Amino acid sequence: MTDHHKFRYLLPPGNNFAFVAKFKIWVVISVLLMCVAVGSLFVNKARHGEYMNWTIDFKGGTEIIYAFQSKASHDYIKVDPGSVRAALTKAGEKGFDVSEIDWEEKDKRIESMIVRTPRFSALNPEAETKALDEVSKKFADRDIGKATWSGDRLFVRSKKPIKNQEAAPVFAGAGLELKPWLADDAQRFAQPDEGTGDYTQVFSMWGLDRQYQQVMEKALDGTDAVVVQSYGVGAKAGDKLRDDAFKSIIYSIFLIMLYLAFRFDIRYAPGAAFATIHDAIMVIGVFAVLWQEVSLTTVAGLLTVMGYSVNDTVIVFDRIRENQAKLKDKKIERIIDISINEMLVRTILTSSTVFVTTLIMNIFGTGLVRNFAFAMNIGVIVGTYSSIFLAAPLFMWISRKYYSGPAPARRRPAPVGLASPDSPSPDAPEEP
Amino acid sequence: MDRSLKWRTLALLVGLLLCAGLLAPTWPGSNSLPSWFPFKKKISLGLDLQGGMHIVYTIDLDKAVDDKASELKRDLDSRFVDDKVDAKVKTPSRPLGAVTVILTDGKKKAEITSQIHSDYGSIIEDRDCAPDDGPNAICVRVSTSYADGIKKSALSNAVSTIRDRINEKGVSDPSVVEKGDDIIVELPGDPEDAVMRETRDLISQTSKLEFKVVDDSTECAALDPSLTTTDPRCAMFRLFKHVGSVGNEDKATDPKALALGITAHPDLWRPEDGGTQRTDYYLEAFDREDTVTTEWAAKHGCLKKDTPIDNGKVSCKVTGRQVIERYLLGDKVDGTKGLFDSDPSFKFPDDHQLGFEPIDPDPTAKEQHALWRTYYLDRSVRLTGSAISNASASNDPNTGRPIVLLDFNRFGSRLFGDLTAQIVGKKLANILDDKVESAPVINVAIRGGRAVITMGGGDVLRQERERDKLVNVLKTGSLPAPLREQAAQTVGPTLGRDAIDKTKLSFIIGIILVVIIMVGVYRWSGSIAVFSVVFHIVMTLAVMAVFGATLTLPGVAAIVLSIGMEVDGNILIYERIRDELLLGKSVRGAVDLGFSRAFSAILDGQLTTAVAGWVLLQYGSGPIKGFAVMLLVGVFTTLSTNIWVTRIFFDWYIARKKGQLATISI
Repeated sequence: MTDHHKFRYLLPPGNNFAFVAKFKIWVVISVLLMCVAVGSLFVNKARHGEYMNWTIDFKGGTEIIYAFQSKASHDYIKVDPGSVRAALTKAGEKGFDVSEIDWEEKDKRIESMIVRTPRFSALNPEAETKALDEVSKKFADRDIGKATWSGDRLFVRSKKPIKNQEAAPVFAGAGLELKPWLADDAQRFAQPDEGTGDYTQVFSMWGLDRQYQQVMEKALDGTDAVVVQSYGVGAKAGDKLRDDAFKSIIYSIFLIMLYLAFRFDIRYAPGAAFATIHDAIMVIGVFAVLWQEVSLTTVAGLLTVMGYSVNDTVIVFDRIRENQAKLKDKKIERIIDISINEMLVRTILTSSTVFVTTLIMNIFGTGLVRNFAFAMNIGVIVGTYSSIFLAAPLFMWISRKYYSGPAPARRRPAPVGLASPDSPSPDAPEEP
Repeated sequence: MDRSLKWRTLALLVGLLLCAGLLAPTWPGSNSLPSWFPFKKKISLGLDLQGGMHIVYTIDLDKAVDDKASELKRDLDSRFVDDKVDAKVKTPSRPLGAVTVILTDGKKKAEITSQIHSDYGSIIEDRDCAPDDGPNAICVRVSTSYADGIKKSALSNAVSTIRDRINEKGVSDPSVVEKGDDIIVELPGDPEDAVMRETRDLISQTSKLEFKVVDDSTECAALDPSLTTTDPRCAMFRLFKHVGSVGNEDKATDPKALALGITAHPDLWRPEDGGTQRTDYYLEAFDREDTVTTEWAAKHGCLKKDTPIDNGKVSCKVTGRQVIERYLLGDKVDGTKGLFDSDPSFKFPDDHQLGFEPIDPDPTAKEQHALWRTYYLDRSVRLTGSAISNASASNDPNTGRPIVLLDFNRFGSRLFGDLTAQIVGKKLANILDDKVESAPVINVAIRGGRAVITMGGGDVLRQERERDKLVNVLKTGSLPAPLREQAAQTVGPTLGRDAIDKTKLSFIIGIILVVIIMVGVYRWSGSIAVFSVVFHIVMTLAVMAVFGATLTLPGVAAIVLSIGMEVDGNILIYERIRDELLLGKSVRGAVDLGFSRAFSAILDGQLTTAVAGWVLLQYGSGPIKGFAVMLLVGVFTTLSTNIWVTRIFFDWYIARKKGQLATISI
């Protein structure tokens, strides 16, 4: 076996680390860390009132990004988040959160502010009912057929038209500000419906974005607040998303287990399941400890981590299965050590390419992408660790405990659609 | 080179060409692709990349049930007046959909209870009375099975209605998807734009169902020919004469109409009970691409930033309806003069109007453009959707033809009976949201609160489709639109552009780093891996183009991730080849073994990823869905590049150095 191949080795060949000998220590450490991760959820509950830093995806609420311009020069300027916070608190807002976010437009850095609030609409149920009452009282002479709220808009059907100017003071009475109609709107609403002769008017209220904008402009003298983006999720929609996200995690673990039991055998499944759950809990733990935002994208990241972790585990398992058939006289511990050692270079290389690409996404990405990449960064680290130090040893432990004696080599399914090796060598696995 | 390698190389080149072809429509400046070009679909950018609105609607079922209860009350009230029963009908707010009848005379209770149950059948169910209702109260509520029925038809109807309404407004590339009990609408564009605002208003508005009588030209035909030029009953006949139709060139044909593709046709039928043959004339036009002024395009939402403007004009899709309306009435927006302006003798009398019906294109026809036909309608609304209490799909027991069974409420059945008695032999158009849905012939006066609409000619499958559509329309057309905004998201395109730049940057840096790692460790074979990564990206985008998928930021993230996985496949193969070489195998043998033995690991790894992707697809919404789709596409492309493309390059590499190769650069 002379080496005339001049490979560039990442590790000198023949590496022979003992991975499984001390596996009990690793399992104990991992279980402890998992306890810390789960514990941090409760610490968060006590400290912040929530298990995790849910974004409005799950809580419901509104997220608005403001940029600030100087009134005089129309240049973008930086505003102190403290003053924004103070202004909103003074206006009686509760439960909101202000943080900085910056982005580039035409090579100019624009420093803006992201405001998150649990409120979904500028309206609360009381204001809605009040406005509805006021409108039907004030415009009783117009013979209102029906008036319903949809989001921040009130649809009114009446026998006689109602003008925007007439309605504005009525809404103001209920503490709401009416958006002016565009010329098109006014024309549209002033025409009766051909069939019924009814007039249908839509009164849109200024949303939260505008309400906050005014609060800020009042507090920050000489500054225009510009709404860059606003995003709202109703509380009901948020709950549903959370349910869906939770379900998707449970189902994917279950399906992946099923796949392993089918493709390998049942002894492999618990190890992979434990490793996967470990990875999921560790990622959740890091998000909880660092109070990182958990959005829908984080869930996507978490699921990818789980997919990646299983992928990593499966590739080690695949080699174990192969070596079991090949090295029948060896003990299972030895086989696992040999297999992990054989796969070590691949594991390091693959983990580092995925880690590097996601790290770059973490550094340069924005918002959604960054959140996802962060989950992946942690996931790659714990996923690689768990497939070597947890999944494989657990498989060994189960094999020893419940399948004493040489494990029956399961028949390996024939690879599909590939040419068979040129000549069956003595160390080739059993072909069915 | 052996034969198989030649064929595989050829297949690879064909594959590359195919990918290039699929991506051509997506390439910037591809508007000028010739019309024979086989691929039309392109990758569209998600809202996060180009800005727009994302709105989630739910059906407000409570409101619908509540309205149904009010309708029951109205119905019962009018029945008790008719039958001279002294009773009071209440609709308490709780439980939902409750109706309470309090009789003054308790003796009739059993009789009236059974009457109500036989009349309303499955619409209502019994409920317990409140303590203070007294002994003479009959307590029922809108049944849950009926409420479920409303929900189901309301959802599917709402999706198609929303789609129609958005299309009418001309917002480009909208997406309307039903998800669970929600409807998710995505509208790219500037949220504060007038068209967007109108569209948003329109979506939440109530569907409006009306019945109007089609005034055909039968009476005109009976007139003395000298009178047809002036008699108001001959308005459509005059238009028919003026416009003419293709294939009838001997008749007078207006060249302007001919150029616009507007044709006129007669429609003939004989009522079932005999009587005179009836004749109706109508106009027809296809949707078409047309050059219009920029003002018109802006008003109808087809003017976008990248639309090429030629001499103040742009190319827009104009619906057949708009074609006919512009031809007849002109257009104030761009100052087009219509036929009615230039020759007032064609003008319709004030009490009449034109209705339009979209006709699905014949599936066998070569041109798949939608077609619109006109109806000459009596302007007065004879009945609205509130007259209908229920509608169901069925088949005629004798002929097997698809039919719609209508139940009118008490108030509606009287009106409908009178109306149909007046118009036997004529057509009655039902109009939803200003669009004629169908116009069946009324064969006999329909009394008794039940009507059957028999679907018109054509093949049975199409009739069934139309029937189901009509049932949905009738069922929910009689309901106040219970659509409610759940969540609304506006995405500013500026932030999107910034996000694109950053994602692009991380994409490029990520790939460069992968190149450095791979070439650094595996030398020549490493660069093969790099090429297969490039092929992987091209193929992923091409698969997206096939489905006309939407690229979102998380989608880009998934592509980056799938590159990592694709490289993993290469690493597995290369490590395997190294192992085999170290065992003393020949180069060819080592490569063969490397590929075949790495296969099962690659397959297992990719399939487990696919499982996660599939679950995400089922439960994810919005950003997650985009990610999941790309993950699944990535699995497919990774498998094909790993197993197939990389292999071709290795075989080339070996074939180039003929004979005994001691080692390879790996």
